[in-house]
Amino acid sequence: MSEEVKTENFDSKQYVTFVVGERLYGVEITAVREIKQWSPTTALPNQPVYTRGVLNLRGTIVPVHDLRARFGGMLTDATENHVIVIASIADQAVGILVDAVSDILNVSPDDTRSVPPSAREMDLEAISGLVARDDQMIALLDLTRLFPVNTFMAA
Amino acid sequence: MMDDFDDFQAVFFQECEELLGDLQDHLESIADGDFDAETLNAAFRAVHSIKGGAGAFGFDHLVNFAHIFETVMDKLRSDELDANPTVTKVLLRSNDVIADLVADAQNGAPPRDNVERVRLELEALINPAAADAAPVADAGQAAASTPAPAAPETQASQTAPEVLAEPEEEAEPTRDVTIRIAPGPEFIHSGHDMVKLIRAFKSMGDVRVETEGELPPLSDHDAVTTQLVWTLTLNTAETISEIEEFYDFYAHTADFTITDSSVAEEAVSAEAEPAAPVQEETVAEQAQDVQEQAQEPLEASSATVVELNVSSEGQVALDEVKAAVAQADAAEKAEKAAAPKATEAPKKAAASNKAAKTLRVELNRVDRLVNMVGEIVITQAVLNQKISEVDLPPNNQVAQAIEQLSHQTRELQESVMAIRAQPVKSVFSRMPRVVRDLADQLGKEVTLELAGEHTEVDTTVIEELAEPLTHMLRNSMDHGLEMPDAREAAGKPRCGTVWLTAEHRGERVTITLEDDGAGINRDRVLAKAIEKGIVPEEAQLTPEEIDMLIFAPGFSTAAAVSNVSGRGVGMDVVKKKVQALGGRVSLQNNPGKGAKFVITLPLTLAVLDGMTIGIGDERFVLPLGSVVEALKISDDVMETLPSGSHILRYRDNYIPLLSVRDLLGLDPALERESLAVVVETETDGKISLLVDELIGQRQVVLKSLEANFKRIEGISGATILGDGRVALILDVPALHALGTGHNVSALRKAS
Amino acid sequence: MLSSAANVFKNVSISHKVMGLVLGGCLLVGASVAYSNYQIARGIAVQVAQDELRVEADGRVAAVLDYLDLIAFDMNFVAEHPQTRSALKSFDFAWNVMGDAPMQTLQDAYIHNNPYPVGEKHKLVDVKDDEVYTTIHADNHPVFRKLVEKRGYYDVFLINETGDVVYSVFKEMDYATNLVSGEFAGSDLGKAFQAVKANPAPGSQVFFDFAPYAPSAGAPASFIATPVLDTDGSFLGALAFQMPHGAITDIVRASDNPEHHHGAYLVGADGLLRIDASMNEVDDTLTTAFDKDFVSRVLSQGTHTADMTGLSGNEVRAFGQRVEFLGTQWALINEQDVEAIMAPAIALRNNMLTVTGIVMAIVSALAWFASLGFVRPIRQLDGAVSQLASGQTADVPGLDRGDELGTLARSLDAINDRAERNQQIRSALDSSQACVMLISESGTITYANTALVKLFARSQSYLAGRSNGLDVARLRGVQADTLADIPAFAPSSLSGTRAQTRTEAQFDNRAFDIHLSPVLNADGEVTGFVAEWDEQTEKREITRQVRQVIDAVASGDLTQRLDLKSNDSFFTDISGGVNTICARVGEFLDDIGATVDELAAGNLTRKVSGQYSGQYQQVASNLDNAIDRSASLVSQIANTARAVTKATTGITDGATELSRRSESQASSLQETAATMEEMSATVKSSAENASTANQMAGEVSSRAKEGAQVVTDAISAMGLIEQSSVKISDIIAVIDSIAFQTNLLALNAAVEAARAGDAGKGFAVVASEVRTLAQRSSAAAADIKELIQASSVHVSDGVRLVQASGESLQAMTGDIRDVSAKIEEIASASREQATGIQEISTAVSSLDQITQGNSTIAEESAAAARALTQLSGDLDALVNRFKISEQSSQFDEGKADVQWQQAAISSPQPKLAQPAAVASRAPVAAAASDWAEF
Repeated sequence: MSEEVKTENFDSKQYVTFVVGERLYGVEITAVREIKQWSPTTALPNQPVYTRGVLNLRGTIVPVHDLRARFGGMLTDATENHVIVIASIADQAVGILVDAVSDILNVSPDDTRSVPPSAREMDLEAISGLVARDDQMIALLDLTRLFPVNTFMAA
Repeated sequence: MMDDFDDFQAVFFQECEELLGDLQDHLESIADGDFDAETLNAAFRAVHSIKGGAGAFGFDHLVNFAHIFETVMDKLRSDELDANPTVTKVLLRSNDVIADLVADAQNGAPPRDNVERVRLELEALINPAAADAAPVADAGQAAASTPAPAAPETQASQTAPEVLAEPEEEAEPTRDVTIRIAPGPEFIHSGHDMVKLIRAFKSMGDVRVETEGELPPLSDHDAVTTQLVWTLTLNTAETISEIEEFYDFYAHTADFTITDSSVAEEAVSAEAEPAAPVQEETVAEQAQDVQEQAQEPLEASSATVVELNVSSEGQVALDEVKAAVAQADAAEKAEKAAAPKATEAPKKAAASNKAAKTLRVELNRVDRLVNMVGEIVITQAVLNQKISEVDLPPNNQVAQAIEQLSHQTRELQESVMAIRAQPVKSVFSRMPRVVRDLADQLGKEVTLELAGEHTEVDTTVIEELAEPLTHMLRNSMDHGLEMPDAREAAGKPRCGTVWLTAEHRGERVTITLEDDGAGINRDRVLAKAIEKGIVPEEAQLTPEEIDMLIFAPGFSTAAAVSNVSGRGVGMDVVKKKVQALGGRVSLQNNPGKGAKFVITLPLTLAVLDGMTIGIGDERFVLPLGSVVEALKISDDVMETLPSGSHILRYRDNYIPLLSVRDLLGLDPALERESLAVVVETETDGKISLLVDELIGQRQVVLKSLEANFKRIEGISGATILGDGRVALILDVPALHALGTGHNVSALRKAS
Repeated sequence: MLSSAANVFKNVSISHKVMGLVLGGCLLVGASVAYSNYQIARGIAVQVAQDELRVEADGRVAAVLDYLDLIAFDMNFVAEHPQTRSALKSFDFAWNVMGDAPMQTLQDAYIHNNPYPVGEKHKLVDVKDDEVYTTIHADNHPVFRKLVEKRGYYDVFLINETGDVVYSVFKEMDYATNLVSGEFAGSDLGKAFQAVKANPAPGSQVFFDFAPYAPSAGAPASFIATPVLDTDGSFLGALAFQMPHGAITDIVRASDNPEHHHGAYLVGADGLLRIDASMNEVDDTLTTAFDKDFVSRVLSQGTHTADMTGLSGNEVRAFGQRVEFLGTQWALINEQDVEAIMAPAIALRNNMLTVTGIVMAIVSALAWFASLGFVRPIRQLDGAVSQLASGQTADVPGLDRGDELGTLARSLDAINDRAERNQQIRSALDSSQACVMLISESGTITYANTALVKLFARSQSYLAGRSNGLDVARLRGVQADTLADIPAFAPSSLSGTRAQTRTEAQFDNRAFDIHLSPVLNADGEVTGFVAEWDEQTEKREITRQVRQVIDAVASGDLTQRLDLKSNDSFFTDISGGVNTICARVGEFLDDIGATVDELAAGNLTRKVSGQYSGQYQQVASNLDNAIDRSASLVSQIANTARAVTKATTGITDGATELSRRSESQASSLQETAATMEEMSATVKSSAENASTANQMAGEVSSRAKEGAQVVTDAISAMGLIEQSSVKISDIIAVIDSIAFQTNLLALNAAVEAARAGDAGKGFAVVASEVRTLAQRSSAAAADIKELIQASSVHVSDGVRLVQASGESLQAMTGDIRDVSAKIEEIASASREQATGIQEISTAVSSLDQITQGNSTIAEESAAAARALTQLSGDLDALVNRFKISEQSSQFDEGKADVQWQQAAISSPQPKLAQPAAVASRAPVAAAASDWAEF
């Protein structure tokens, strides 16, 4: 049904790229559970600023974090056009509010560049690599470090 | 086809589990000396069926051991062996072994080493001749065993794998059992109802009911206190213990005396609630004047429960009966609406205890069922919300249908819960063994008093409960109970006792573990806390605070908690576990006398009745169980203490007034909140919470936050409202703690 | 003859007259009453009698007719009765059976051998022989006999078809005879039978008048017959009745009244009586004849009445009435002796006479008595009256009576009084100087008093000459107007005078004044006139003289004196008086005159020299006062004159100034009027322009409105576009969101595919395909959105523009409306202006006129003022002519001015317009006119 499938080199990874403000970010597609439209969340008390609250995702309660805020920006004024990327971090479903999803890219490891060591501690921590793709930089996020989930529940 | 075999095996294992539970009960009652031939038979049957099942699936070790065990039981049953303590001790041990064997069989592990040891002990019991008859000799002094009626024991045929149902109970000879019930003041208060009870008895056989005592004239009739003493003559095949088990749930609220017409011996009356004696006289006093009145409603209700064989002396006109029946039905319906929980319990208890007609169901199926029901409840709530938004004429069909639906879903949901709920017994039954083992190791003499095993808790809770309980038990035996000599020195009986009781408290189940040991030594605890750096050097703590220190994280020595050994002392893990279950643990410690741990757990995990409150534009849910009253407060009622915390004058008493907004760090109130909800914290009495608006009462499905996020202080979980949005469920005690915590140093903040 | 009676009557004395009157009256009355009553009664009686006759006749006729009808009815009844039929058949049969001489046998049996006497033959019922006839007779005879007895028929006959009288009741000679061939064939019965046989129509009847009938011993008999028909209508025979003459007679004579000499009888056409009249002894049936003419007239007219000599030989009043029965006509005469008729009248007359006689007697007695009762007083009255008549007063007796006499007396007394008064008057008149003459209505002199006589005596000769021997002494009865040519005395004018009139008469060159006034009686009717003569000659003479003198005096000549020689002391006195008056007045006047002359001459210092009294003194002092006042007045006048001159000079100056100014004003007004004219013209033109402009504005605004309409339409179109674009954009939004969703789905699909690893490869491709598709669609949506936005931007621009234009149009319309409103205002303003100007111009023109008027007035006033100054100058001159005493001549400057100003102010009316008038009014004549009035 589709034309001749372009065979990517075996070890390239697929990334879901999304936009926050001006910048492009990417997340490993395998980490992404689902992408859904923004819907109002219920605020959680005593939580860090960037945690926008929890969301009812077909019965399960899922926390939603605002990526822009996480990176120190203002809280996103979410509208229907905004998108929440549901990622699974340490097999916990976590929602990440972004402005829009741009594309799914195939990135081969040799395209990825590492973050310049001089970058600030936060960047180093959160971003696992940079990819240049048709003169735009995409920052690949390391979700587990971005949104630490203190797991203590025994399996 | 292969799957079927696994299924069968799964079923077998479930069955084994149940049988092991029964076996343990019987063995315990035998160990306690409170048993009769019937208990022996039941125990024998349990072992016998396990052996059968095992044989079917080729678990040879299990079979051999079970065989020996069975022969011993047979001897006991046929009085060739006397149930003296040593024998019972061996039996208990062999019960543990068989339990292990079953578990090993299940997960394919090789039999453990102690199997052989115990088997030898069993064999020793069988042919004393080989060894000296000493161990057996003293069997004679055992309590005179009752000359069990040489009921023909029909050997259950080899259970065919296909036959899934429990081996059919042989037609036991039925005989009349009279049960005299004197309901205490608590009886009605806690929502029980004679009609329910009678109906329940009816399920066991024909019931004839008479009453003594009279109802006061209608004018000063007090609905809460009961004035009647009911004597039921039940024609059934059930064993006394089963009957006892049956009304055990009511045990603490009424005074049951059961006499088996076939057995002269007077049955031990159930543990009488403190109120019982007093109850006796008042009942006698009013007996005369309301005799006739009492007669009618009772007979009428019993008529509905059992084919009315009208007793000769209380001849009653038929139409009066009908009127009474109608009245009874109405009462019954009201009864049912008022306290669904309470009425469920006895039936549940009866259902689960009833040996017959049980069904082996995998837990995760039940879970899926529960979840689905949860979903149904939510969608029903959503539907309800939507319907209310569409303004239809007030009592239109749609609304009624929805109402009906909500009732049914509630019913469904509860019954599904009921499926999940299991008596605490399965956990409690393990405790004696632990005590026994530990007592042996520690060389302490400890007797374990178990009570309220029948209280039912959600299976998940039970599974989770086992480990913290054992941990606490071990803790209290290890640290609490002194060595026998020390106890004797301290003027206490050599043998320490640990009470492990479980009871229903409305929405929640409380499990208390009390020991008459030395309690917790506050100084040591404080020292250790300081040593561990949990508490700053010079911190001034109140005794309660010191006690609570043991729960502080990091207090426990063990880095991680292994579910088996649980050597570490750390109560912190216990607390976390309990909280994870949506429960709470608290400690009452009086050094020198003992310590009392109280764990309160939600009765059914998934669904609870909540009161939705609004704070700002956020919605929260307060578990209805803990809500006492909601009231509009004006300034003159609100006072502030020097420390700045607010208190509220409520019923000529001052209770702490906490602003949920502050506690949860929400954005400050725009205009003064003027609504307060008075809630009952399990342990510390009532507190009041300042909220913006009361939205309504609804049944909510509890969804844990931990699944995808982490626990949040003060929030016991979340639920999904009718409009699909998430509402947080407030955890009253946690809030209270947060509130009070505010006064403690920043310790709390660290978590 | 009447008058002679009257004379006699007149001369007979009242008592007799009264007596006569009373008697005569009574007699007259009684007689007339009696006579009239008698006449009336007689008439009535006659009428009654006549009516009685008529009524009786009617009654008799009716009775007879009834009876005859009854008979006819009976006849038919019996004829049709089956028994008659069977009887006739059986009698006929029996007749035929009887053998050869039935007549003889029957007659023998029933007549001759009838045991009963003649006249009673009918009593025999049964001959008891063996004849068939006998039994039949026995059967039927009682029936028929009863009929006869009951009805009173003379006889009843049954006649068979051959004419044999087979049966009769009374068995007279006609019994059993044959009416065709028998002896009685010619008799009426026979004739009757033959008539019936000839015409046997059922119910037809034949009647034969009474005629002597042999079988009935010549008694008058009348027959009536009718055919008897068998059931089959065949003629069996006839039934005949012999009319019961006696019954009819009785009926006719039923109401005879011998006392009243009244009787009735029946007369046939042949004039012979059909019955025996009761009033004579003779049996006049068919014998006595009656006046044929009367009968024929009765028969022809039906009724007739006349007076004639009746059967009784007396003078009777006969009333005939025609009776007709079956072709036979009779006259039923009812006669009553006139005397009898008149008897009541006569009786009435007699008793009337007796009554009147009695009454007369009574009345005369009464009269006599009454006369005594009042004749005497009348006589007394008469005496009194005669006394009165003779001029003496008399006391009237019987004043206290209540009746007419009393009133008569009283009135007589009144007359007496009046007579006395008249007497007094008369004597007064006689003695009075005034010459009084009484004239009757017809103009004859009824009375002249002595003075009058004396008056006329003087002219006796003249009067005698004038009217042939008129003797002044005896004026009574002389026609007044014959005395002299006095038209007023003519009867015609007299009758017309109702009120006192005054007239004159001259004769014998004497002049007389006559006062004529009517004399009214109590009822206000003129009964005469009284004329009062007043010799005027002397008086006239004197009055002439006096008038002369008065005229003289009037004309100022006081010298005239009256000639005192007059015979009349009165006149002499008067004359003397007049003369003295004249003298006195003359003196006085002279004196006054002198003073006045002086005054006239301007000398206000001289006073009246003489001392007078009374009114003279009054006049004198008044004059003096007047002089004094005049003096002061003159001085004041002098002052005022001076003031006036001064003022007038002021006025003149002012006036001249005024005239000059008004002139200039007039001229300026003219100018303004002119300009006004121009302005109104311009304004009018501007108004026109404004209205045209307004029209134009209207057109423009309408066009603008259209434009606005267009704009609004455009706007609405744009709006629609806008809406549609909004809708499109909505749709696009939907598409967009769909694209967004599909994009998400595609992403999710891709994620799933990734998660699925190689299994998901194909799926991933699909997912990416879907994504590209979603992207393309969202891109497309975006483009469309842009386009829409662009278009909506354009639309909104367009709308804005259109709106702008709309607004501008609106504004324009608004402005235009304003403009038109403004223009309208201008127009109206200019119209107003025009009107205003018009008004102004009219005002101006009127002002102009006024000013013209003013200027003329001013001119006039100036002239007047000048004249005034002139006059005041003259006034000064005049005043200076007066020589007045020093002290009152100084000039009070201030007061004069003030007075003048008040005068000027108080009388602004254009009285100035007549300057000449002012000058003409000489101050001198103004006795005391208030100068302030000016």
